[in-house]
Amino acid sequence: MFKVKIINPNNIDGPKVNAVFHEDYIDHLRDYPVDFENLEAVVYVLKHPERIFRGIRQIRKGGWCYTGTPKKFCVAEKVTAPFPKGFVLGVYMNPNMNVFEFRLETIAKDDPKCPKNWKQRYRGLIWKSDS
Amino acid sequence: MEKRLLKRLGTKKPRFNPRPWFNRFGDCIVYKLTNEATFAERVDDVLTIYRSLKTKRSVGFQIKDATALAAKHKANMIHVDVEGTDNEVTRVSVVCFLLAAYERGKHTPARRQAYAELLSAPDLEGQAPIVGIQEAGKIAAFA
Repeated sequence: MFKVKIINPNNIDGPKVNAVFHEDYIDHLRDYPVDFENLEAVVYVLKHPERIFRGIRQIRKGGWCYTGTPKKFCVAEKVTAPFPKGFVLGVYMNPNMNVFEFRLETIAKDDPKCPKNWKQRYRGLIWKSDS
Repeated sequence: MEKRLLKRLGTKKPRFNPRPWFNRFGDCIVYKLTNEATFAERVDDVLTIYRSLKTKRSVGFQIKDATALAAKHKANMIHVDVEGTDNEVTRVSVVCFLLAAYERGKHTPARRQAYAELLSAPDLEGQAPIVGIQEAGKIAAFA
């Protein structure tokens, strides 16, 4: 596993906490070289988020989504391009801070740093970057 | 720093090997059929379709709350492509999960169209890729 220091979603102004990439998840990503390559973009978003949301599931409580826009994104094997317009990269963590998914999300009309329908999908926006 | 991380992880080389995967950290089933960048299209609380960034074609999906679906619809799944013991279903057809997910929500035309699109995908039609759920008991993060 590897860990990345990120803003603590439970205590925004407190010390940073670790986001954890478990070996099972990394192994899964190895089955998809493009996704594996995009781990670089994922780590960038975790370290430079633009929005942080809490409550990512309708039924189960908890979980976090960090969104951001890395400069580059792998679009095909060994092909990197500028990050696609009209999207943000969402990185999802469970309440134990295990990263379990990342994906391109269509941007919202009311805030281009947020995924579409963010008000319905998440329980709250807890942090936004100044820039 | 990100580069260094990938370099460290790169000791075992990635190789395209599409297969359904039960993600115990997210309690979801993920299945992508291609090795390309995709974007997510959320159909409902349970199903998200992955579409090719290049062609917009559906190339995969994610089913959330997999263990809840498995428990609720176990009886309906048992007759189709299930492996396990007398007491525990360990591998279930992904198609069954899709059907169970569809049954959980309102039967609107938009949902029907999205699920039908996935179920008629060449890699799913007439086949039953299966996914292990033996790790289900370990899921506690979302409980």
